[in-house]
Amino acid sequence: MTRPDLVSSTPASPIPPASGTAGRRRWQAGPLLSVAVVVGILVLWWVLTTGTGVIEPLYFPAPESLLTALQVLNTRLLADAGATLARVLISWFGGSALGVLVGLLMARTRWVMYAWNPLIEAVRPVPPVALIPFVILWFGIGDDGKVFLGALACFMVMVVNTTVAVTNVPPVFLQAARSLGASTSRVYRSVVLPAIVPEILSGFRIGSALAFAVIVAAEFLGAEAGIGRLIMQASRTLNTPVVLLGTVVIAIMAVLLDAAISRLSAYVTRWSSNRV
Amino acid sequence: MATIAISGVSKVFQTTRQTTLALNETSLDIADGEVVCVVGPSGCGKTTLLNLIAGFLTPTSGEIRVAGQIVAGPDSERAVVFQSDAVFPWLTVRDNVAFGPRVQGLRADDRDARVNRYLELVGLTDFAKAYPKELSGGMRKRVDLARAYASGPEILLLDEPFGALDVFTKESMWLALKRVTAVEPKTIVFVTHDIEEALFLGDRVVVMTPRPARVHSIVDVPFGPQRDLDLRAEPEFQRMRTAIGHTLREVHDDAA
Repeated sequence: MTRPDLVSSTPASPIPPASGTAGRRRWQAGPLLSVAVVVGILVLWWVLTTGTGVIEPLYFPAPESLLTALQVLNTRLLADAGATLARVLISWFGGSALGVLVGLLMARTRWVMYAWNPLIEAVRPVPPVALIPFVILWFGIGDDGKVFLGALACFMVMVVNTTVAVTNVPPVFLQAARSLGASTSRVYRSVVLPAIVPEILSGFRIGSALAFAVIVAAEFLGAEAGIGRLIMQASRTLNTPVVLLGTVVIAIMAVLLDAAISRLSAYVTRWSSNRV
Repeated sequence: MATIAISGVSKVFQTTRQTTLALNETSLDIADGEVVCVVGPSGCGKTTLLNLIAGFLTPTSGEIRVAGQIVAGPDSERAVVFQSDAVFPWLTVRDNVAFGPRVQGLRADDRDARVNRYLELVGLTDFAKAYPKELSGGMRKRVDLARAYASGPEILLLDEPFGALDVFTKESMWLALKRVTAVEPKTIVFVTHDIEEALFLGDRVVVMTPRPARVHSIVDVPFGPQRDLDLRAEPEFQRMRTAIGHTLREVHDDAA
């Protein structure tokens, strides 16, 4: 153990960064193994389809057929991907922002809590996908309904996440701030809000994944554009390469959005000791 | 600095299941610039007493006056250093110390001057830009102390602040506290269950009874303002430590 406080008034150097990084560095083979597994799966895929024909192309398309599909679809794929991504981003951003706001109000003011809580507890257990028939009835098959559904999913996640986060703020922070001269509203702004940021950001990540799931499902049941519609149309004609291509595109978009949020959150919560 | 007058204060905690008398008719007068250490068995209500002075709790009966004014809620004239880690992890050391001056609306240059002064006093100038997670437990306590001082309080309330530290860090924190209070004296109430700590730091040591707590006895500490760690080896120090230890065991056994 280091004893930076021993006698001298000038403290010694700060504690070195978490030992986890050193542990990871020691095992250089880790990333290599990951790459090997991915390459292995791709090779196996080719061997089982094109190579030996063990799997029929109808059940799982060969790698080359994906490239063909990509060339055939070309700009249409981009348009569909763009439509889905736009819906996801708008609903995720809008729903999350509103969810945080309502969550903060609920945590702050008792009557808002009592007014909103039954509503939220009633809607929360319902899988958003189950509302698709109603949403199509109300909004038709345009963008509005899908954005609404995605936003609703994110909203629910963020309301719950935010209220829980606020109650998790250690009381000692609030007491300290009060005894340093902060008013109650100042405590909220300068202590509660920054303290809940890590939990809010982890809610954002959950919400973004959920928005993709809900919106693609909604597109299955009817849309003018979107990856979900592309997949559904292709599956009706048993065009499995396009089905698989659509799935891959969703995965890529979801991973990129998640990576962007996690990069942002790593920067914003660089102060947090339990950051991974 | 300011006086603290605690007169006939009781505190009852009421839950649906039970009613607990945590503090019973406690009276204590603390003079301007005095360092009073409160010792007692854990769970006896020392912290309750401190929270009442801080204004986090309201007395069920009796009253607490600070500089003649009845305490009504927390205020920047009474800064608190807690046992648990209360340094804001999302702020750098510098911004933590600046928290009090900032929320009190001090001008930026006044604020900077104050922050620099107290960072210097606790020996953390080099770590101004660090986040608390990069500091050791003892250093975080220094940040807490500097933050409390920088908010410009009359009174400093310390609730077992060094309870979680190892013995060497604790000793160096005693010296750090002594150094800071020598430069800028405050009226201090220091709650602890460590008799040695109480005797080393206090002008007076208040011995509390187990729950419901009240003042059992008050011991005047005769060692003057200049104290070093070797004081603990002096026969007089040893004698007083033993005596207070005996008192604590007696009151504890009476209650048990």
